[in-house]
Amino acid sequence: MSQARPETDARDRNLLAAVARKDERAFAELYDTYASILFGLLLRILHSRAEAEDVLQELFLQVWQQAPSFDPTRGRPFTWLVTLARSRAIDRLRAVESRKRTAQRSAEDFPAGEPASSKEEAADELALRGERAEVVRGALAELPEEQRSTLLLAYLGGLSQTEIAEQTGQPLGTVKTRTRSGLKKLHELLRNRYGEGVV
Amino acid sequence: MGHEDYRELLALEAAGALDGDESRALAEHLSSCGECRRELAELRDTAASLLYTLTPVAPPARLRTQVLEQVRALGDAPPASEVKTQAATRRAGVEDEGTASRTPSTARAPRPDARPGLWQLLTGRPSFAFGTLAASLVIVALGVTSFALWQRNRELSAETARLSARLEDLRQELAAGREQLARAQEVNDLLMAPGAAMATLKGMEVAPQAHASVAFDRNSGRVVLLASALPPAPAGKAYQLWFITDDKKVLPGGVFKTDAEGQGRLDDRLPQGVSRPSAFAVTLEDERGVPKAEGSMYLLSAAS
Repeated sequence: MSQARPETDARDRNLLAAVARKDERAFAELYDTYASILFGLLLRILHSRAEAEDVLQELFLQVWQQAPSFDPTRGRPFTWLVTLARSRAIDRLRAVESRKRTAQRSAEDFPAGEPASSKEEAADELALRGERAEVVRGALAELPEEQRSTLLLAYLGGLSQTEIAEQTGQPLGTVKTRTRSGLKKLHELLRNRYGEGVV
Repeated sequence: MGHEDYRELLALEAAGALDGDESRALAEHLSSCGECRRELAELRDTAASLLYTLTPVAPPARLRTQVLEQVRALGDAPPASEVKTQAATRRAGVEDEGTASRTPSTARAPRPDARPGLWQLLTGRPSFAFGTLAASLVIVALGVTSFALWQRNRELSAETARLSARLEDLRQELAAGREQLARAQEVNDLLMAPGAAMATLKGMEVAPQAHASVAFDRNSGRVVLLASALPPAPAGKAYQLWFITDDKKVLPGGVFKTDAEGQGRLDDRLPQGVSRPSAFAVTLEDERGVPKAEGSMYLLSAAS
């Protein structure tokens, strides 16, 4: 398992390098590998299928155009993709300010989509992701609840610190401390318990 | 602010929690601090790993086709969607301290292979002697360009119409599948909530093979029950969920029916004032639901 990340990272770096050379097949492979997980994030932040589809499309066009500027010495390809996806989604969210967001949404708002089937994702990719999910969930479970929920609202929910403060009724400073401590603790846990390079 | 102050901001930046101004100030520091850049990269990896806990959702197949068609059409041309994506690109640039650098400025310049003659005539300063010739060439070139653009526009309109029709077909095909997944996603989201808990219900004598799971989130009050192998409810009857509290109060929940395979699902809320029921039960009642349990009990959870 600890071998998993370097392998996929090397593959992803090669893919991105090929995309930078305008290799359409590499681009398709990158899409097939990450579209589903990124779409899951976009749905979660945007709570709108139409918006999420739109942003996913823009995101991959951006990847096509900006792959040459990806610097492998500055981090993992996956992190690069996620960072781009998050910031696009949040930009979109700010643009669609008409809808007032709340953390708990009505059932109708929950994202829908086709299940990510093995047709689109290699089975080993899924298995690997499952293992990683276990590792991350295990570490998350060790965080104090208030840190965990604040971190998830911020990162996966796309809420600003001010929004989290409003929703939880906690002072902004507390929210910031929880977010910061939560991520740092998670980082320590993943590193200490599973060694570097696991997730 | 000094190095240590900026270091304090790294985790917030990685969690996507800094506002624009703070983020820009940090970016400036990062440009000259390798130590902070490395630490930020690691924290970002950790934050990104949170995605593994999400359920991946396959985007519609048509989206893949569209994206691939678009990149094929783009080739290595300058970004056509530059204007549309500029804001996001700028933001990503800031967040990434350059890993997602802005589109190179050369991208905006005309491609050297695109009508070089016209470009040179327009930008260069032809001497007076060439003025007339240049002007005629410009007119001819503009005519050719306009025609090409008009034709391209027509092609694109036709393509758009074709894609719209296809899109509509696919939308309809997918409606059913989406519905199903939305419901699965809800359960997943519910279970991932910080206040989530679960209980297992076992079949009673009337239906020993029946079983169910209840997931609930004490923060939001949401409850989802998934039941299997229940006998079909007779006409006018339905299954009803009951919440049993620590002090043995039995509070009514919603009603649900089962499908042909005996599976049923109920989306409900915790009763007012109850954050953690000690047990759950399911009985067969009037299909409109009743305030006090009267019918036979089909499912019961062990007290938690």
